[in-house]
Amino acid sequence: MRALLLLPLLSACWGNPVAQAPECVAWVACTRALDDGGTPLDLSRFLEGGFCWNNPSLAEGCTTACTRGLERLRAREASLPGECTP
Amino acid sequence: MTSLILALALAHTPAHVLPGVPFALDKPQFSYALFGEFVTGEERFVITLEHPTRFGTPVELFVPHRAELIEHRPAWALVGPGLPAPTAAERAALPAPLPDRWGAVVELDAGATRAVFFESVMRRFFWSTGPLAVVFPAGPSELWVWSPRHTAGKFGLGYGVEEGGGYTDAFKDWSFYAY
Repeated sequence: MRALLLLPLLSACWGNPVAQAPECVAWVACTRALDDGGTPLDLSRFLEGGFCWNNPSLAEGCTTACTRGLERLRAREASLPGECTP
Repeated sequence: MTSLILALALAHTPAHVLPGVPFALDKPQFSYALFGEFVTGEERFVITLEHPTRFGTPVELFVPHRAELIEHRPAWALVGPGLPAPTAAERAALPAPLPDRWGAVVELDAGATRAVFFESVMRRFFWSTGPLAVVFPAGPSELWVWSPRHTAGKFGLGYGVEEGGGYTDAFKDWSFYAY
């Protein structure tokens, strides 16, 4: 019974999806624009509904990862497609 | 107790990595927290992976937030075929020559400031390079961790976000993981 009583609490704390951050929309768009094809490219965890957005803590880490990833792409690539520019 | 249960449920799978012994990340679709320790500062840690497709995910390197480790700033690199060529400075900083036709994404943690975060399973603070979104190549690749300043101390490498269910492994080696 106690476990049953805990379920709503666990559910409330765990299942708290977050919207995809615009920083990751931008990183995904830039990464895809720079992609030269070839083998499939799996960016699913960063997409809307992906694992990054399952809770606020993961979302914060992924948002920082995308921000830094986009900064790195902008700094490294000689010619940037429009999807990568601010 | 509830907070610990929640933290474990949201955690990476922990593992203990050793220098000179490549650690095979056998389920690279899941997330891991790989913990190791520099004893001399000369070691290189190698994690091997193999993805069926190119795979974008965050990677982050962190060290215990302790006064004696303030100068301990290990670096990491993703190396593999098809990755971009590193800059000359990055190439010079790598702990070993890149295999022929391999490129690298190098994170030297050389910034003036360091991010701090609270890790909710071990309930400890860590300094971090900050997570970085990178794309692993299809096929074999490696993560290298080394200590450019030749400092000793523990580190953890966070990889991925999808939980794989191995979080209770934290209890097997708690004293090592929880520094």
